[in-house]
Amino acid sequence: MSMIGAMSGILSETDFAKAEQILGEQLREMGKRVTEAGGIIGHIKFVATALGESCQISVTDVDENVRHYGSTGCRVEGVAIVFAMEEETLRTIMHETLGSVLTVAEA
Amino acid sequence: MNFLVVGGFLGSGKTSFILRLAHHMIDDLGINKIVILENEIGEIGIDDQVLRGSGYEVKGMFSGCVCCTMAGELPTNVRTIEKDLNPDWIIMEATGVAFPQAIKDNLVNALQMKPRAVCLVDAQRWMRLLRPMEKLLPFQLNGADVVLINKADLVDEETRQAVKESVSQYSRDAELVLCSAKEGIDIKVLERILGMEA
Repeated sequence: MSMIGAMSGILSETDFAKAEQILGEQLREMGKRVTEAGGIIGHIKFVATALGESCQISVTDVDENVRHYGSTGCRVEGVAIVFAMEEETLRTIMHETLGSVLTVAEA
Repeated sequence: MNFLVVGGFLGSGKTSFILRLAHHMIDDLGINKIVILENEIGEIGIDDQVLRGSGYEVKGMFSGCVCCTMAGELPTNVRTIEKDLNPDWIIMEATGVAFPQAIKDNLVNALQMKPRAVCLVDAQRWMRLLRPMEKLLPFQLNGADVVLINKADLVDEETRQAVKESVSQYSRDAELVLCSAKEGIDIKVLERILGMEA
């Protein structure tokens, strides 16, 4: 039966190309460790979305206020679907690979 | 309203194929009213984000697999889509662990539809995965009108023929086509998948 591990978090790297490289490295390592542990990879699929700056502009008859907010880096989310693997093993592998570079991670 | 089930194991290239097919339907066949129904396992929908990012309206079913745990919800969703959007085609990307035949049976029995089905096979991984996944992979081919042996450009000729021969043992009635969904698929093949060409 399949085992599904989901993870999401923020990768603090601000250069998107570098973030893509880091994500690729971590996912390849995740796949390698799954295979080494005897698991069969269905797929490991993550999306990285660059975060940026946002602004809120509020206006009254006497006032105008602009508030900038947002964060830099990338939001990363996705799943690893594997077969022939215990849940705890997959959880450990995900935390020790991709999870190690995400600042807010959950699995 | 026509219905196409797109099946195949995880990583076989279903999303790439759907993007290719949808472009062809819109650009060459003038079919503009298409709904892509996305069914993914896992709490995070990834393929729907890719399809939405390509400009398509996508409806997702993410709570389970539409061929088993969500079987009852499929006819309801299809009825809702028909009522609200009345598309010419619904293209449903099944989960990578779904059985297209079960989905077809569900649509036939519940809605008296005549769905078509295409199943994708990953030429790079078929031979390696066949034995450990023998209770899943061969049965995913059942019900397919066409089986696309995808990523054929990434393997050598010997592997291509070995995969084709292996797949043909499990899918005797379907047309088998070697292809690369990323590089392009013959228009005539796409039209046969849609049942538009004899």
